[in-house]
Amino acid sequence: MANDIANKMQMPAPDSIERFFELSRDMLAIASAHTGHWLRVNPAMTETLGWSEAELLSMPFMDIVHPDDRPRSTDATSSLAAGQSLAHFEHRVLCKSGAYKWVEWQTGAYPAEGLMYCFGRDMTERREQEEWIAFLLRLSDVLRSLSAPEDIHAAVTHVTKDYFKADRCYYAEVLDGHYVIRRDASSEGLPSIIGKYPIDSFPLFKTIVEAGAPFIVADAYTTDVLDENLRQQCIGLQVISFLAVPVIKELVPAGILFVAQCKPREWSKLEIRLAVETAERTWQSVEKASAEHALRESEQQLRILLKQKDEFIDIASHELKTPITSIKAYAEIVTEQLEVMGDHENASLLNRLNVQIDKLNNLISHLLDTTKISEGQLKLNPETVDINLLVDEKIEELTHASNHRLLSDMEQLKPVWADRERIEQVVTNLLSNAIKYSKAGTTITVTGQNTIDGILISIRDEGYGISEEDQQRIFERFFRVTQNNMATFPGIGLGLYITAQIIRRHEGTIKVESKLREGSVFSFTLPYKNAAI
Amino acid sequence: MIVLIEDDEAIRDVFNLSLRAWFKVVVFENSELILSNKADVPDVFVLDKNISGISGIDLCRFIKSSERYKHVPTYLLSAAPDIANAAQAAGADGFIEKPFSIKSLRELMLKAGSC
Repeated sequence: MANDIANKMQMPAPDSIERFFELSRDMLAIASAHTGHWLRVNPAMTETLGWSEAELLSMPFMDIVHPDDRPRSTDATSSLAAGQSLAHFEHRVLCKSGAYKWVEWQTGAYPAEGLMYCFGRDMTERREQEEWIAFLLRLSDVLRSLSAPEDIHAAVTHVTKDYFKADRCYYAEVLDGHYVIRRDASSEGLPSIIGKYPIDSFPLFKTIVEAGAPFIVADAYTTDVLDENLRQQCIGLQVISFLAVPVIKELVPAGILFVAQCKPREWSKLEIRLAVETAERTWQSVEKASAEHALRESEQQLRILLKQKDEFIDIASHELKTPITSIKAYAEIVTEQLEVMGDHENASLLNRLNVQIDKLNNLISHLLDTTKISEGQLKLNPETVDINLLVDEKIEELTHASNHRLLSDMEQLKPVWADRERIEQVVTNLLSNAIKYSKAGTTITVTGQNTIDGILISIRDEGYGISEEDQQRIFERFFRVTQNNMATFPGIGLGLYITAQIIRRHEGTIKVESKLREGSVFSFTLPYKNAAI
Repeated sequence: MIVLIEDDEAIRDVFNLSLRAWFKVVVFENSELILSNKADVPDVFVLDKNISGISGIDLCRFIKSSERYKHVPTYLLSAAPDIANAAQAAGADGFIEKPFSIKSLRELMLKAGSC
């Protein structure tokens, strides 16, 4: 009993093998090696290719192979005839619909029988996807390198025309009530349609835009999607078949990608998807290019304005300093004469005038420095600088001019390679700020220490302090602290900006630590050696 | 004697007023007399950096290469902040940055004039 069952399982009936032939979703066929005709084909083959069994058996199989692929296919069958037992190849096979499908074949030859057993699989979708990816990659490569709308139009239309093997391709940009076609790609003999056309002059485009989706005409002679007028227009322009994709942005037409053929043509789903993708990418690239172009123009404009402003400040500063020089000198001469005459009261008044003149001069110097910094022209004249000496001199100078206690608590610092005048300016700015933003009688302490690769100088005051928010921006150009209690302090917000720029030019760092009503510590570092200046 | 080459009238006046007790200040509006070696040899030259015609820097170079004048202390006068470098590059003995205090101007001129 058991043996009977086993025997039945090992030897299926001949017609049961036949069932695989009927059931297979892949194509199975048997061909004559001698006549080049199919002898048997399975239902999957007739379904895939659209031909009936009788039609397939009646013609040599090579008749429906794409002409470009025939040499490759002939080679494969020849090698089988010459004794090779198995051949593997791909080619395009003509379907009854007129379209081609990519088929991958695995074919075995049995010379004794004079037969070839063929196993075929429809690879059209995979092939199309590969081509789609290749096309999109090529399009991306081309678009990435372009920044002018004209170049984008030219590149897109050429790449698209090539891929679709079309006769004409262009992208019409919608701009100020016009269709703007900057470049096109057309087969020989077709007139170029580059130009700017009022929207109303293109009724076909109006129809396409109103459709709001890919607009497809396979044959202008027979289509029912065009009215008689448009049909005649298309035929007149040799546009017999076309695929047009409108780009609509925020309900407004932005562009149309138009791919056309001079003869009837079917457009596959994949081609439609590709055209939609191409239209969208073209629009994005043109938008980006236009925005960048506008940005470049405004940048250029801004650069000119900034240069003019800096030139103005530069000239104005120089021209202002000459009269300041004589005003200051006249005031000093009169002060001297008043002192000689014993008129100390008026001499003191003139001294106050002199202090104001010095402030005005500082302001002008700051404007000049700022201009130089923004032009990248802040030149440094480095030398070996003894910072202890420099700080001591500044403390002595400013002690006489303020009502604060100025202390130095510095270890002996190693010399640094720096621009002495500019570092003097930094120390003066920081000490002057400490004096300006703290009450008379409070203490200002300068500390200094050697670090591994440079020096660290800190200037601590017991002043009004700076809010955390303001600390973030304190070194910006024209920034001024905004607390109400500071409103009485004049300035234009350049001192700390210049200070920071000088330190940065020296490859040093600057920072502030502060608490409101407790005071601030401004610290900066300077490297001992500096190859950058 | 100080020879001042400066085209701003007020600056010329200030030099005269603040230094007249110690020096005779002779003002040249241009550099022709010096370039032709016809000017008297002064105690000090003060040259504005931006005079019309030949620049103060070029004039300074001429002075420092002239047998007649090269020993005369020569100072460049300017409002430009990079005057120190310009003066050094031109071979000047020093510089006066505008604005200056008359006290420091006197000290500088007395020191230069006594060399």
